[in-house]
Amino acid sequence: MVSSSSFVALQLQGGSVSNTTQGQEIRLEKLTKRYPNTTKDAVSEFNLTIPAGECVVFVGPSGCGKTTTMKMINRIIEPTSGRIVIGGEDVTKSPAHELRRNIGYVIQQIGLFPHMSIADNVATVPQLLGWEKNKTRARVNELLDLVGLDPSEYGSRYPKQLSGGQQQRVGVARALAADPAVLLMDEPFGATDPITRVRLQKEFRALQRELKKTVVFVTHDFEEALLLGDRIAVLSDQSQVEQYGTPLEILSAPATKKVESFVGEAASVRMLGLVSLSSVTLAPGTGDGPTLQEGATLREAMEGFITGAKVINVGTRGHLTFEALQSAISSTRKGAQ
Amino acid sequence: MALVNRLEDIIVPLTPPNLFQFINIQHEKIIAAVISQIELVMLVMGIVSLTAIITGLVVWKSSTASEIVTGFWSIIFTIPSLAMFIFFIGPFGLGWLPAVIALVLYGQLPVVRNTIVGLRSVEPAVMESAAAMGMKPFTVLRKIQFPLAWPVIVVGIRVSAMLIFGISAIAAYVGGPGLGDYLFSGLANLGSFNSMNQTLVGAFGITILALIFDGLFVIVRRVTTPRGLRV
Repeated sequence: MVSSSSFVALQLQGGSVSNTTQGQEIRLEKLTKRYPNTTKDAVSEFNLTIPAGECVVFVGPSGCGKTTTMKMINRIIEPTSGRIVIGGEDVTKSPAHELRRNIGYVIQQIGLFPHMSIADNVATVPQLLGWEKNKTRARVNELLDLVGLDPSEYGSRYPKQLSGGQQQRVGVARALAADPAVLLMDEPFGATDPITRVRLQKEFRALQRELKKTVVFVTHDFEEALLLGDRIAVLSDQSQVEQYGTPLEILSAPATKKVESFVGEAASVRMLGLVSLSSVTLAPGTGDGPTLQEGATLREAMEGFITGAKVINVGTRGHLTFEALQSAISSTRKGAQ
Repeated sequence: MALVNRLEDIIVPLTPPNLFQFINIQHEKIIAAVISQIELVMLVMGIVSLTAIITGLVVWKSSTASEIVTGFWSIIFTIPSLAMFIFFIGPFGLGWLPAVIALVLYGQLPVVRNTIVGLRSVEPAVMESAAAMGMKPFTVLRKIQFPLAWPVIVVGIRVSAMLIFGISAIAAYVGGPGLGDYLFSGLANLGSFNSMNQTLVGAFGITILALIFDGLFVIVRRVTTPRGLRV
């Protein structure tokens, strides 16, 4: 019913999607949350700068404060102290409802409004912003298309009539409706089945590369963090930043024991999936073996070697040997360190 | 009512009329009683719905306040209705006023309780999403929380209306309007000429009206429940 590349429909439509607001930088300064009648901060002096247009994943064990930290950005949880600066503007004290209309919000429980149609759900923020009816309707249709739901078929349905995966697509469309600069996502794909999850993750990654929103993404799933994050912040108790870096940096040079335990075994194997063939030096000419596209990763090449191939051809640019793969991984490690 | 009895004795021949003849003879009075019965219940339900829903809206957030309010109305609810009606004769005399006041007090509990339960049963994720979209607190209540709680609140109003029908019959004791008159004067004169007919008109009348109202509430609930919740 829904094509696997539906989020990517955007790219096919070219410039027709009116996505003009690109991400803004988020700066969190000494952000602290302490709940009344507790002796310990839930989040303690959290400092982080999230570059504009990047997807930063907060990853850490449950109860470490990563969700609390994320929810302080749109002040669903009001910080006890500290500063939130979005796009250079201090929003720590600005009216919460105005701040939130510029921040998309997607949560694991989805939280669609069950008494409103899908179209009305997506239209929530544009209506709050007082958009004209026609503009709102056009935008709703555009977004439902973007997330791979035919507006004429799904627009008038109600949340209960959709599957979990479809509901989360609507959740993403609703978050993007007013073209916000920032997107907050709290384990958005956590409640879907494994197959749907992988599909949604890949679609979201493609979508994010196109839209270039600033995304703060919370998960406890390190694989998901590797897949989606431009950068990963590994957090421990009280939202202490153990390490903040690109997936490759974290895999090749875990800063602390806690990060190491989070990365787990086989860091090199995981790295395979992060290195694209296009970034590897190849021997010229083609050899006797299967052919992969430039966009494929070393992981797929490794799959070829394990199943008996001596060389892997990369498009028509050249071929990759096992030794070349090894040195590519070790140089990536060194580069990241 | 005793006057009615005496008049019947004069008009009607020695064999007492059957129920249908009785209704036929007295239909104007019966209709008037039915209308005032409906007026009484509608008036009481209007006041009950308004006050109890407002109470619910004020207290739902605090579980202590919610418990105090439902506890208070539960105690009121346990007072025997006859005692309550008679109690109000002192300050408010006879007639509509004591009847309405007593019934409004009895009707509170189901509506207050269901308003609180309904408002609380809205999923936290839905409430959080609404706030995170940038709705102000009152907009969240008006556009999201109240519509979602409404089907539960209507059930409370319906239960309350049935209670009010039952208890309103007793309001005749303090001179309240409605079919209760027939019930009581029939019972009081049991064995006399038209007493059985009067009792039956009172009892059946109230029962039938209550059932009609109950049916209407089913329709009202269906019509006012947002479509997305019915699918």
